[in-house]
Amino acid sequence: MVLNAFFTIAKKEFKESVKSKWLVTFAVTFFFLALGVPYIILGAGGFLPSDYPGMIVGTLVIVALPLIPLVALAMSSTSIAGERETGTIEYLLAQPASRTEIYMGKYVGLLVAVVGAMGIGYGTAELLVFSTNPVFIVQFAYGLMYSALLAASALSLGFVVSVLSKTRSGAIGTGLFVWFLIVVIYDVGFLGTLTILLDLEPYLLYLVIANPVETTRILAVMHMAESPLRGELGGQLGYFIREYGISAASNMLTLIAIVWVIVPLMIGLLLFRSRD
Amino acid sequence: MSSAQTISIEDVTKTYGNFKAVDGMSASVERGGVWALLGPNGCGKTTLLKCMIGLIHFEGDIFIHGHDIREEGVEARKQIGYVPQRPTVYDNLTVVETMKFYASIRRVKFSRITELLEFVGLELWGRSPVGALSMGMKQRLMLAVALLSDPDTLLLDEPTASLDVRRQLEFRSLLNILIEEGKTVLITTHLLGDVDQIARNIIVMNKGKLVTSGSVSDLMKNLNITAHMYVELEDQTQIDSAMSVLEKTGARDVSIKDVGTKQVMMMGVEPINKLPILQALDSAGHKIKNFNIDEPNLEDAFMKLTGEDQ
Repeated sequence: MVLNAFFTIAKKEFKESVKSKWLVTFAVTFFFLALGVPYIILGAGGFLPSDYPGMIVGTLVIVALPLIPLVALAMSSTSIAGERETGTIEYLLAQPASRTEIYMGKYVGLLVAVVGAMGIGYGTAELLVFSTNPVFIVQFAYGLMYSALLAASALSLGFVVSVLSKTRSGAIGTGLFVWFLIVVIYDVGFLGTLTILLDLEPYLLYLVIANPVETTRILAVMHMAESPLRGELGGQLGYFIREYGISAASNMLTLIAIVWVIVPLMIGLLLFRSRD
Repeated sequence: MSSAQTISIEDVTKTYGNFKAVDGMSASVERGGVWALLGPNGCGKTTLLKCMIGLIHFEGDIFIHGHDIREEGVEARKQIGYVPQRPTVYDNLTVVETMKFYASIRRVKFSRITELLEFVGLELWGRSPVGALSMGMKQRLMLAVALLSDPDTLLLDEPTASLDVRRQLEFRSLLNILIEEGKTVLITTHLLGDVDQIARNIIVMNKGKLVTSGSVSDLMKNLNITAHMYVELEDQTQIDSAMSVLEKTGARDVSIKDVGTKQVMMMGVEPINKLPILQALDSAGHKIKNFNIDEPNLEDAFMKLTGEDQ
């Protein structure tokens, strides 16, 4: 299989994404989220405590993780639907390229762009902050890896939305609804209520793996030994560690996070191949 | 599929819900020349063209240069260049970027881009964003993209429908050059002017079905379509008696038409019957002041074939 079309489309998708305001805003937002306003103030006054990185690393998971699916869903849900609306996807399909090449080319192009922007925004700030204490670099690497996995799964979900949507505006609306569902409603309104009010510990695994954001959140916190967040997520985290051990729990949740990337991606591909 | 055939369409049906956009269509396009896929708006031309390119799913079989469009879509699409009805390239890319993008997909050397932009007259617009081009220029850009891999066959979907008269003429002259190069061009159109001027072969569709196909000249001959003759007499008071003479001569649908202050007799006539009709009028003492004959054209043939004159 010659992958000319795949690489050409991936390259174009990447370039277009880099040019878009979404991604620039995303990178800048992440830079400041990761750097932390307190760091700037405390650093400027010379009062920066040596354990500052440990203090903010967990907070990042809470603040930054919900933003990743927002950007990824917004960008991916319009990827095919937008081109369908303008008719450019039809002309692309008329070229000597398979539907799989076109779909995967667009996906990989967007993935590289989103993870790249995340890495630049997040990474630059983190390196700056953690230069004071290299121990946290490993934790940061885990954080970035799981953030990338979350971005990949949100992109996959966005592609399903994009394939099923007829218009760009419909796609972005549905994409934002999916974000609201998996981030806001699920976390605050559903999972939070259930775990606080009811004794649902035996079902916690299913509740967590049913949502890629929850899966990634638990995973990220699991690798942040010094994070104050371990206390906040103590119930869920403690359950996993107690039941499976930290290594098995980590492997299992990583696998589930990967499944959250692959399954929606393949569903989207099958839909893209089967629809006119 | 014979070696002379470029496109073979075999019992193709495309259904949307209960509506059959294409209904058991079979036809073939032979190598070389212009073939017009002709039919009224909404008859299924564009749908059939989309089936040929593999853009939509369908029942039946379509082969492009021997490649099954469903099984070997990539290989089949390498053999064709496609120009859609509406220019659908990325407005934010420049003309050269657009050409490079599609050239990369088709594995064509970038050196061909300059040559093609010169061919379509866009060599000075290379750095312009596609969004800034006029409709005619975009259509020429689409043609340049379609020609990137120098395909033997071009599929053009109503390429002149959105162009003004001048741009239509420019587009047709480009097509003529391609035809002289020996390319096979299948053009869908509902404009009979397009067919009259450039196509020698037609495939006529109506309501999703094949009506007829073949060369334009054979079609006109076989349909035996009548010409329209208009006769003005010197003495307008003799019109009633002249009408009764005409009815005995084989003239069809004789009627009287008011043209300004005078009246003209209008009738349908067989090509071999024109002179005898005029002679019969003269023999009956009706002096002819003026006459005019509208020869049958493709429009008449089309109306007869699709039954829309009923």
